[in-house]
Amino acid sequence: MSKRTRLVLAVAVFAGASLPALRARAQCCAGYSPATVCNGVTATKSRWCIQNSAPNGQSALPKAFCSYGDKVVTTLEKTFNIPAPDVFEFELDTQTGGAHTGTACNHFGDGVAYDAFAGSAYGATGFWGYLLAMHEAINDWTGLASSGWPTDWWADHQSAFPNLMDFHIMNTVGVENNDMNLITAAAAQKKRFYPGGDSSDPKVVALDNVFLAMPKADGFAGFSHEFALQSGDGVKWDSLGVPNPDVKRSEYVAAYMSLALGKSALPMLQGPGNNGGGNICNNTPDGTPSDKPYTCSQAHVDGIATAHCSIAANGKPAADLSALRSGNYGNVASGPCGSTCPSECACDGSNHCVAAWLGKPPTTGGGGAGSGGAAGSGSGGASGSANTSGAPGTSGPGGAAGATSGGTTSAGAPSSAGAPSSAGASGAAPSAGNAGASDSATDAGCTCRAAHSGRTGQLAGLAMAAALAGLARGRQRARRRKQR
Amino acid sequence: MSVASRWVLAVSLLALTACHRREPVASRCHDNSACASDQYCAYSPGLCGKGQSPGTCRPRAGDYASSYRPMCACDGKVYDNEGLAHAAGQDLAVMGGCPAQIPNYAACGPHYCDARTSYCEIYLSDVFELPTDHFCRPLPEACKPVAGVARACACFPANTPCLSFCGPLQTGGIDAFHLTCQGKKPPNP
Repeated sequence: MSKRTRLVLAVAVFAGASLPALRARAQCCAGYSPATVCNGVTATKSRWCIQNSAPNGQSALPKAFCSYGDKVVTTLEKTFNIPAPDVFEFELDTQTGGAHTGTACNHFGDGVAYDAFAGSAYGATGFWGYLLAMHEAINDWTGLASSGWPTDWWADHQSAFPNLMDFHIMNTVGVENNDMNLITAAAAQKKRFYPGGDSSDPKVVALDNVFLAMPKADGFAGFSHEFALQSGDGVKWDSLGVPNPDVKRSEYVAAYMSLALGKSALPMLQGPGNNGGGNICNNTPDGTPSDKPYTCSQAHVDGIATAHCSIAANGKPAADLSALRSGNYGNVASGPCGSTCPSECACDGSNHCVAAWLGKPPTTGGGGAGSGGAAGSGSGGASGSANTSGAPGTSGPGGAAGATSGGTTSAGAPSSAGAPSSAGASGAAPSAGNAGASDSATDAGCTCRAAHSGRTGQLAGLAMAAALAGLARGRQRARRRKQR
Repeated sequence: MSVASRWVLAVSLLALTACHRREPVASRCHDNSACASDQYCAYSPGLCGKGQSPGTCRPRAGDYASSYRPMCACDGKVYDNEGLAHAAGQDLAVMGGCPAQIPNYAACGPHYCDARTSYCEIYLSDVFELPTDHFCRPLPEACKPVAGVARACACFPANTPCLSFCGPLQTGGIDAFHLTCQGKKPPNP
C-alpha cells in the first residue's frame, strides 16, 4: 500500500470515527453555547447547550451530566424501539422555569431550567437536572411512539407511565455506571410515588407491579414488546373513534399490555389503590371533573387481545386490521391455531388462536394425535413467530419429535412454552418451535401455549418494523419542524 | 282539527324549535386564514397551530380593559393583556417563548408574572404536544423583595405547592421564583 493510500485511509478512518461525535457537538440553538465542561467527553447521541444568559455561565452544568445524555438516549431507543431521529439536544434555560419538550430552535431535544442542575434534593446532587432532562426526553419518545394514551391513568391528567419510567431508567443508568448518586436519585423518585411519598400515586405503583411482572422480570423488554405489538398492528389510540379518556381506549391499552405480560393485566390495574392496585378502569374518578369514570370489561380486553391473535393467525387481512384499528375488534374473524398464531397467543379448545391467558395449557395424554411432534420438527427457523406447539397429543412419534427438534430452535431459544422436552416425549408437548420459523413450523394439534422465551425472532421483526415506522415518523416530524 | 292534523302540527313545531335551537357551528382552523376577518384561530391545545387538533375560530372582540397583564402571543409579540392579543387576531402562546424581556416580569408560559408580587407555578405536562400549565400566584409576604432584592426560596411556607423544586427566573430586573411540580397535576380551574 502506498504512503498516499495509507494516508487517505487513515484520514478516512479518523473522520469515520470522529464524525458522530462532531455531529453531536454541532451547533446549539441561537443564544445557547455547547457546554465546555463536556469537551473531551465522547457523546454521539446527545449534546448539552447552555443558554448564554445563565448567571453561572458555563459552570451551570456539572461534568457528570455529559455522559448521562447519551445513556438516556440509548435507553429510550431500546425501550421504545425507536431510534432518535437526530442528535438529542439538552438545553439549560434561564428564562423558563421547569422543563419542556422541544428546544429553542426546533432541534430534537428538551430544555430544563438551569438551576435544576445545581444543588441537591431528596439526598441526590443534581436531582432535578437528572430527572427532568430525562423525563422530558421520555415525553419526546412517547410522542414518537404514539399519541393519545389514556389521559386519566397513563399520562397527562394522571401520569403513571412517565413517572414509572423515570425511576426505572434513572436506576438502570445508575447501576450500569455504578453511579451511587443516580441510584439514590432513582430510589428517591420511586419513593415519591409510593404510599407516604410526596406524590403518592397508586397508578404508578400498579404499573410498577406490571413492569416487574413482565416476562423474565424485564419490564423494559415487556413494555417494549407492548409497543411493538401495537405498532405492528398499526393501532393508533386516536383512531379508535372514541374520546380521551374512554373505556374502549383503556381496554385497548390494557389488552396490548396483557399480550406483552402473558396474562391479563386488568386485575392489576383495577385493583384497589390501597392494595397495590391502581384504581384504574374500576369506576374510580381520577380527580379531573371532566373525566367520567368507567369500568373496563375483562371480556372486552380478552376480545381485543384475541382479535390481535386472530389477525396474525389469518395472515393479517387488511379488512380485519382496519376493523381492529377503528375500534371494531368484534368484527375480526377468528383465526386458526397454526404456525401463524404468534407467541403472545395460544390456542383454545376450538383450535382458535386466542390471547395466551385464554388458551388451555397443554394437557398430558389429551386427545389429539401426536402430530404435535411434527410441528416441532419442522420449526427452528430464526424468524420465529410460530407458536406451533404440539397437540394435547397422546404420545407417539410426533410428540417425541417435537420435543427434540422443536424444543430448541435455531434462534437458540429454549422452548419454555410450557413444554419442556420431556413433556414432548410424553406426547403432551407443545412442539416447541415457538421461536422457530414462522414459515417452516407446521402446526399440530394446537395446544400451543404462548412461549415467551421463544419469541426472539418475532420480536426482532416487530422491533424492526416499529423502529422503521418510528424513524419514518421522526423524519416526518423533522420535516415538519423544518417547514415551521 | 283532527288528531292527525294536530299531530302533524306538533311535530312541525317541535322540528322548527329544534332548528332554531341549533347553535352556529364554529369553524375549525389551523391558522387565521380559515377564519373571518373579525375572528382569530384559538388553537387547540394552544400551541399556536403546532398541535395535532384543529383550533376554533373565535371573535376578536375581547377584554380591552387597560389592565397591564402582559401576555405572550403566537406572533411572538407581547401584548398588554389577553384581550388586546385577541383583538390583534392572535391566540396566546401557551408555552410562552416570546423573546421580549420585561424587567421585573418573569415569563411564565403565556403569562408574565410581576416579580414584585407574584411567582410562577408550573405543572409539567407529561404528554408530547400537550402544554405544561403555568400560573402566576401571589407571593407570600415573606417572599416579597426588599429594597429591590429578591429573597431566597426558603421564604416560602413549607406547605406551598411545588416547593420541592424552587428556583430563580431572570427578568432583567428583580428575579422571580418558579415553583415546579413534576408528577402532580394542576389544581382544577
